[in-house]
This record gives sequence, structure tokens and C-alpha cells, in this order.
Amino acid sequence: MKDIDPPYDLWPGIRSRIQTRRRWRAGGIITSVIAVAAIALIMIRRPQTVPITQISPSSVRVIVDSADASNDARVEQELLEELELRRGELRPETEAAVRASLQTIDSAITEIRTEMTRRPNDPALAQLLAEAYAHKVDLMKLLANAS
Amino acid sequence: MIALALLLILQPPIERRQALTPGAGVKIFVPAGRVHLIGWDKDTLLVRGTVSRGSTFYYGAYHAGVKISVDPDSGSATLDVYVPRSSIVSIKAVSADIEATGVSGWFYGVSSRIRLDGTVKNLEAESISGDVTIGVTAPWVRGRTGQGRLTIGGQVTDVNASTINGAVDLTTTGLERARVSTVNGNIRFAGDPGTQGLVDIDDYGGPVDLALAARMGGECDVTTVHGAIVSAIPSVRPVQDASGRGQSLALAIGHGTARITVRTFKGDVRVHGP
Repeated sequence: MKDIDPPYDLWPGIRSRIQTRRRWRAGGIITSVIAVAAIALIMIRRPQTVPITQISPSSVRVIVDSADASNDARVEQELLEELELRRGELRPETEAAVRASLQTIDSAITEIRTEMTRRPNDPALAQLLAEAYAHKVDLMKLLANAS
Repeated sequence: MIALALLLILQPPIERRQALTPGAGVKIFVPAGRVHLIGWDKDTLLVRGTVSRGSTFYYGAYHAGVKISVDPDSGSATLDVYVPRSSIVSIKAVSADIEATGVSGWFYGVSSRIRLDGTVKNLEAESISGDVTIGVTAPWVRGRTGQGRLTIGGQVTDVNASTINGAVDLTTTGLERARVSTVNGNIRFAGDPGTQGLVDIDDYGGPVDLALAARMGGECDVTTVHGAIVSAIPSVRPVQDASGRGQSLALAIGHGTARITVRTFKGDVRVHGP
């Protein structure tokens, strides 16, 4: 066996190969980190899809007792009396606003009542009617505080 | 400068102070002008400002309560009122604009614009024809207008919003209970009832815009007597009722027991997903 002397200087070649390998490894790590960060960002920013499904309508919940006509008449009478009493104290624009509001509520009540003759057992109508009366009471309270 | 000096002589600025016990009542009546209330951590009430010529400033105070008023009914003032946070304020105005931060109590105006924010215990705000804007953190809020716009935001557990012709805009979070009702106003509801809140929306003639919150879990029921329902959610479509005039729509969203119920007579309803 004949000994072969190694080349005069091996180190520059070894070093260059090691550096190349390191560069590849670093590049790989950076690429992986960027990829993971991008995926995480997409997952975070993607709007969550909330499941929404159609179901059959339940009967409308009625939360206010349906008002009766006598109660409505009493509230209306009190409201008109209050308006009359405070006529001198109220600014014309306030009185006009109250009368306009009263007219709005009254026309709503008339329409709802007409519809109720066609659909007497409709819980939505009963609820809307009760709400209309409640608005009249609210208006009376607003008016009572106005002077 | 001379004119300004004369003006100051004719309208001397007001400044009054009173130490108050916790929970003291503060009653204020200012017909016109502007009142700015600020809740602070001190135990003293401080009122500063000016009244217009021809108006008289009245002030009565002791440790358990303060009463401030400007007379006559047409009187006008510009006041800044600092009150202890624990005080309960009761303020009434005709056209004076009212602003308050961190103040609990009752706020009333005939045509006043009312704007309230901060953290409060409870709040009631009413105006016949003025706009009311509320953006508070509170357990209980009631807002009521006739013709004015009613806007309620912030974080409120129990909300009651009512108008006659005014629009209602409700974007409150943390809702456990909400009642929104108007005769002819437009309603926009983008509040968050979470997974347990109960929301009732009634509108006779105005349109309703309902935006479901992403965190809502529960059911939503919409019924119209004559109005149309438009669903922006592809998987949910309105159903025509037997009479052929009204519509209904029901959906389940997420997981929970929250419930939104919408009823209109002739107002249209638009439903959006999160």
C-alpha cells in the first residue's frame, strides 16, 4: 500500500461546504417560521363561520298583557286632559310634537285593530297592540314632565 | 376688551361648592343653554358657569342634597357641574343641551339633545323631540324619545329603548335583557345578547335592520303582519304566512339559549349574519 498525501490545504473546501450547508439550514428554518406565521395569521384573521340554520318559527312570545279598549279610552282621555291643562305652559312646537305623536299612535292602533278582526288569534298583533298602548302611556309620562 | 369686561360685570360667573354625603340627590332645572355634568371621585359638588341676562340662578344646598335652578322658564345658562360619582342626579331642561360623563340618574328634556357616557349605576333619559345618545357601562338603562333619535351603545345588562317616530340604534354588548319598541321609527339592532340574553323588538311601521352578533348563541324569530323580510343569510329564507301578506323567519345561531324576537306590522325587516 502506498500512502497518498492529502492535498496541501483541504480546509477552504471543507469550510465552504459547511457554510453552504449552514446557509441552507438557516434558509429552511426561516422559510418554515414564515410559513407557520402566515398560516397562523390566516387562521386568526379568517372570519369564524358561525353555524346558522333555519328552524320552524315558534309561536310569538307575548310579553305584555293585551290592553283592553276601556283602558285605552281612559289613557287617551287622561292624555287629552293633560294636554289641555298644560296648553298654556307648553311651547307650541312641543304641543305640536305631542299631538303628532298621539296621531301616529292612534292610527297604528286603528290599523292593528282592523287587522285583528281578520286575525283575532294572532299573537303578534296582540303584542303590537299592547305596545301601541304602552307608547300612549309613555307619551303621557313625557308630557307630564314637560312643564 | 371693554365690551368683554362689561359682559363679565353684567354676567358674573357662578361658582358654588357643597360637600355631599354618598348617594346625595342633585336636582337641576335649566330651561335653555347647556349643562355639562361630570362625575368625579371627590365628595364635593362644584357648579361653575354663567346665566344669561334676564335669568336668575337659584342654589340651595346641604350635605344630603343640592337644588339648582335657572328661572324664568325661558332662562338660559351654561353650567359645568361636577358631582360625586355616588350622587343621583335629576335634571330637567326645556331646550338646554345636556351632556354627562359618569353620572347616574334621570335626564329629561323637551327638545334637548342629551348625550351620556361613562360608567354609571343606572340611567333614564327622555326627550320629546331631541336626540338622545347613550354610550355607557351600566346595569340598567332606559331611553325614551318621541320624535328624536335614540342611540344606545356601550355595555349594558338591561336596556329599554322606546320612541314614537324617532329612529333607534342599539349596539350594546353584554345584554341580558333588551326591549326595543317604536311606533314608526327605524330600528337598527346590532347588540350582542351573548348566549343567554333575551331581546324583544317591536315596530309598527318602521323598517328593522337586525345584525346578528358573532358571539350570539340561540334563536331568532321574526314575524311581520304586512312587511317583507329580507335575509342576507344564504341558508335562511323567510316563509310567507297563510294569509299571504305577512312573513316569518326563524333561525338558530351558534350554541346557547339567547333569543331575539322581532315583530312588525308593516315595517320590513332585514336580517344579516355576523
